[in-house]
Amino acid sequence: MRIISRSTIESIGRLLVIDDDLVQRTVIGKISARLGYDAVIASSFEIASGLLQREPFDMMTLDLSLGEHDGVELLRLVADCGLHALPIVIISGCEGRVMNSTRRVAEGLNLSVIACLGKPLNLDSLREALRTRPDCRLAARKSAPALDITAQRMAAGLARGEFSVELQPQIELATGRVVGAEALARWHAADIGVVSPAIFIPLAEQNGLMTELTDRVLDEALVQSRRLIERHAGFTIAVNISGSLMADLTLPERIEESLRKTGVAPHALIVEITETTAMADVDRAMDILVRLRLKNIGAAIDDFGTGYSSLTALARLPFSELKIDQSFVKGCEADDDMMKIVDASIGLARAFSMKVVAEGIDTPETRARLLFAGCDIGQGYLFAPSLPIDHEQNWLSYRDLSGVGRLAPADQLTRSAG
Amino acid sequence: MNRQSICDEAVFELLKVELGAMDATEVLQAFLADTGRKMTLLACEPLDRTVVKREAHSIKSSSATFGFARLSTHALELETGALSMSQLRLKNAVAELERIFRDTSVLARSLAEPKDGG
Repeated sequence: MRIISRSTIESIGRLLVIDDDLVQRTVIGKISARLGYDAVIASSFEIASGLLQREPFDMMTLDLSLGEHDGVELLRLVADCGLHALPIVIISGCEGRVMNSTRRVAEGLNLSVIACLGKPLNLDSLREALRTRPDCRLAARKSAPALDITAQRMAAGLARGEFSVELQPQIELATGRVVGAEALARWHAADIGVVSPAIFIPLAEQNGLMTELTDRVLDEALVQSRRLIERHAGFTIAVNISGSLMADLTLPERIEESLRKTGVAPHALIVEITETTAMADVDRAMDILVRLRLKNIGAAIDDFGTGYSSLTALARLPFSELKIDQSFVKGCEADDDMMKIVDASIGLARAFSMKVVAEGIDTPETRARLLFAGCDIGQGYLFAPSLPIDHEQNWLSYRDLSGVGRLAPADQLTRSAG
Repeated sequence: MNRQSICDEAVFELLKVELGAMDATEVLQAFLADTGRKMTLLACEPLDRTVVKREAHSIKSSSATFGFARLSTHALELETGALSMSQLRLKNAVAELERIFRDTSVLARSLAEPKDGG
């Protein structure tokens, strides 16, 4: 281990430089020292792992090739040490696809990769990555406290009406018009506060509460969106159907009954089913989906590409819409591998005469690239987060405003609510 | 072999601006010593293809840091072909890398010397 002390008066933190190449680690150490870091140099996996377990660092640069070991092993160690907030700059002389995959491994481990740099090092890019203030990044990730929520508490919440529905707008990319929405279940528990769907959906699945939750969401989504559907031709409302409900052959009739009760036309409803759900019992899924389509209800294959049977589900089942999962969409314009998947998904949807919806559009760049690729509809934070029912008037105002064909940013949507 | 084909001197000049002349020279000297050790390891008979690939990968990147283009390019070829070349071709390629490194070292030492008036 070697320490290269900062050449500035004030320290901006401790940087761990992990590289088995003498030249690279010295260059990184000296550049970082000029920026104000105290650089601790580790020339091997063993030295680095010891340091990570003993000492605090504000940032880390990691070369993926570490002699007998590799950088991915070290990323796993960082995750095992619970250092999820530690900003990491990955450096490698490997080809771009290996680098991209490594970034995904790190993201899968919930680590904070702030830059991936190729070799030979571009010193400007290195400096830019190192200049990002560590304390800002550390603040970015704070895990929520664990909650002890039981099935009984959830059942009581359903009985007390603590569950509600929010709608996330779906935007026609070519015109910027709001053409639909996805209904999302929300739980605001009186004694606990807001409970994440990531907690209550699995809880409902495991404890037989999914039918009640889905019925509640479906009814409320239809009631909420009825006026939008009536006033604007072609507006659709999408509702997620859980895997546990796809075993129930009476589902089409129950959905039809909800439509009748709320007075919403069947063609305005789209049920979203994940490919994994659909393929769990393909015969039953086929039975249900065919009857839904015969009733003029739309069906979307959700999270397309994330399961093992995407293509089989697409080929065998009568979906009318394909939703590209956000894991492929986010940042796709800067990731050739992801863009190939997005392009291929759009091509497949076209071949099956399906509409394409992209989830997770967060930036204008992603929107522009998807529009260029031929994607029809998008949803994501660029346009709007999910919105509660009392924002319906905003929706109408926004829709009228956006009718000129230019996309308004999400904050404009909120402001237009008044 | 002419000077320009061995080295893009502008790259080292930029490194001197980034690190300061003294630090840049220190890193260059470290490179020469370290690469010399790698060459010995890499050329050990019988040739170990995994070692050749690993060390060539390292030399490829570090030599590019100083603008030693010829050394970097040949190291890349060796890294790419290390596992598939015939034994004879591999041996010749390693010998060629050693020769290029010797030429590069001569030039590198002149770069590390202080310039007249500087």
